[in-house]
Amino acid sequence: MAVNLIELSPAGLYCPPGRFHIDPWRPVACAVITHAHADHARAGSERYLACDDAAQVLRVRLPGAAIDTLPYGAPMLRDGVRVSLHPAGHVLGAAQVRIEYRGEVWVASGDYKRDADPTCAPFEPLRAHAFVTESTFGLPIFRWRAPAEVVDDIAGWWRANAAAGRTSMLFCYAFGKAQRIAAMLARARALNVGPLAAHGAMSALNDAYRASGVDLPPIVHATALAAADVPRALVLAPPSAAGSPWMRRFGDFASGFASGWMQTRAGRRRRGIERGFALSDHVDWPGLLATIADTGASRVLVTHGESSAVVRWLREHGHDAAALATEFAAEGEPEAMPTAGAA
Amino acid sequence: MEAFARLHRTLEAERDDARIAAIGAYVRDAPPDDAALAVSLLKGQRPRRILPAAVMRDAAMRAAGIARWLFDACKTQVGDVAETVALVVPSASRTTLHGLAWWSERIASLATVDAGAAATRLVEDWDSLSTDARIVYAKLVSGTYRSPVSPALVDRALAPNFSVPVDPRPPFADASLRVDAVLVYAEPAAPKGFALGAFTFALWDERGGARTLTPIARIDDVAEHERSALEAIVRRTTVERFGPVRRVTPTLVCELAFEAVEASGRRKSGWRLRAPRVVRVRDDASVDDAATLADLGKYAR
Ligand SMILES: [Zn+2]
Ligand SMILES: [Zn+2]
Repeated sequence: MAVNLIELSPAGLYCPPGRFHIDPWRPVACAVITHAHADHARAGSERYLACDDAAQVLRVRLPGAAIDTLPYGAPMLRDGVRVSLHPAGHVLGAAQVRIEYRGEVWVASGDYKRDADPTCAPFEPLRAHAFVTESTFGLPIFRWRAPAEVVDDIAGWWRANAAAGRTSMLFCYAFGKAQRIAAMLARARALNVGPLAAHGAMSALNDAYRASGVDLPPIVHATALAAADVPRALVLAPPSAAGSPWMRRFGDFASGFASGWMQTRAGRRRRGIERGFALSDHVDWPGLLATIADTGASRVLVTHGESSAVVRWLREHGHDAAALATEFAAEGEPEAMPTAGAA
Repeated sequence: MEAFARLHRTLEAERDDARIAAIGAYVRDAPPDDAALAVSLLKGQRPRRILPAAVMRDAAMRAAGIARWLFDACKTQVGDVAETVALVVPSASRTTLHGLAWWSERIASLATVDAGAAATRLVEDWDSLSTDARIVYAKLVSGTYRSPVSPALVDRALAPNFSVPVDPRPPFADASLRVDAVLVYAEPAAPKGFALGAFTFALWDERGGARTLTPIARIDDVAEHERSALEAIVRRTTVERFGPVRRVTPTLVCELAFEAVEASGRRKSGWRLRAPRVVRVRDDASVDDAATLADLGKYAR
């Protein structure tokens, strides 16, 4: 094999011939950002390059940063290295980074999923000699149900709570998951149950989605809900809001949590939440294996979460695989989880 | 099975008012034999182990195409063999409408075949069950099913379903409807109790061409005199136990009284009796003399 197009440096994933980092965890000169989740888009670098779909959200997350953008698929040349960004299907603007240099192609997946999501472009399978993949849910226990079915469950839960006069408090990540749920509830025609509301921390992100052309249903500021509407409302709240004084206004609410970690009973128990909905923005086990096969890559480098299990499985199945010790959040996103007794 | 699995999941997650409503709804809507079995499981009866967990684990590893180390890594994350098995096996390609009682009989029969055949059957069964249903299935197979609620909560949930409204006085009692039915299941009054509390009766079902007994009512309102006759016959004719539920050879006919019969699309029999009770034991009648579902239909409004 020729040179490594991606390797691990102290600041993060680094492309030596192109002299740029991908999602660095320390400030660098040039940072290519796969998406705007906090563990992938960190402040302090001199210049950023991201997908144009990500720009609105990235400016919310990194105020004042110098951000260059590229549309999906458009190449940029840098020291003889051809860099392009391709849909990862993870959240709005999420990109895989394709790096081509002297006939060699490497792809860094960033975070990705293969399931449908009305708020972002679908994952684009790419061919590569080497593939750097995430492995947040890299165990065979993680096989997602069809997202529409999970959203139907959320709608049913909302309907039952509304009938019992109890606010539905749905914890979910503020960026990506909240907007996906809002858009999917609208598509499932579930919004006749009551008003859809969100914690204030989500407003700027919802606005950024709309400014990026994503069709979101009306979302009320949770603090602006009329008293009579509170018991029928579904409130999207970041996990960090659990147990905060903000919650008190909703009285005896029902709590739910939408995350891939809700797949297991242990995951549901750990969060001390009444209802868990296994809805993830990360690839599941079958999707991970299928994606690796789709790339045709002879070399697979594994980041995040369950890298050791994925690496061992790949090696046992004839792949050249290794783990990369990245500092991306192993739990998907770095936000605090709600804790038992929070509700 | 899917309905019971959903109930189990709800009972694990929700608070007491929702739990009570969910148990009430299940018992109201499920066929009597499913309801009887569900109640006994929820009241704390522990099923016996049908197969060692290792047999199930090995079958799941084969179905999922994973090695032992990877199953163990999954189990570490999940914390429970039955749930791990349910999650690693690829999604079902079929669905079935069979209820808890049907599945429990099928599970019990796993004990009668050799290990290879049992493993094949496990994989075949998993292919028609949702993840939640597989968890219940695997816990019944391994004898590790534990009720997520207290017996007291189950009693609270059942109270409105099974309490008989103030009995009409004699002139009206004669107006109640009657049918001769066959005893098919019995179960204890309390968890780990020895006295029998509820009895399930069946009528002849001739809809499918064959003549089979289909449960029509689970009754706990039995007068003391009849109760001792029922208990004696159950002791003599029990052929199979599933946890506390005993299946008996159909030999005993009883006359049941009820206030009304309503169509119920969700029950195998297609009918639901309102306020059923045992009036007397029909020592004079043979099983063949019992009524058919079609007879019952004549009472429907
Ligand atoms: Zn992410
Ligand atoms: Zn990540």
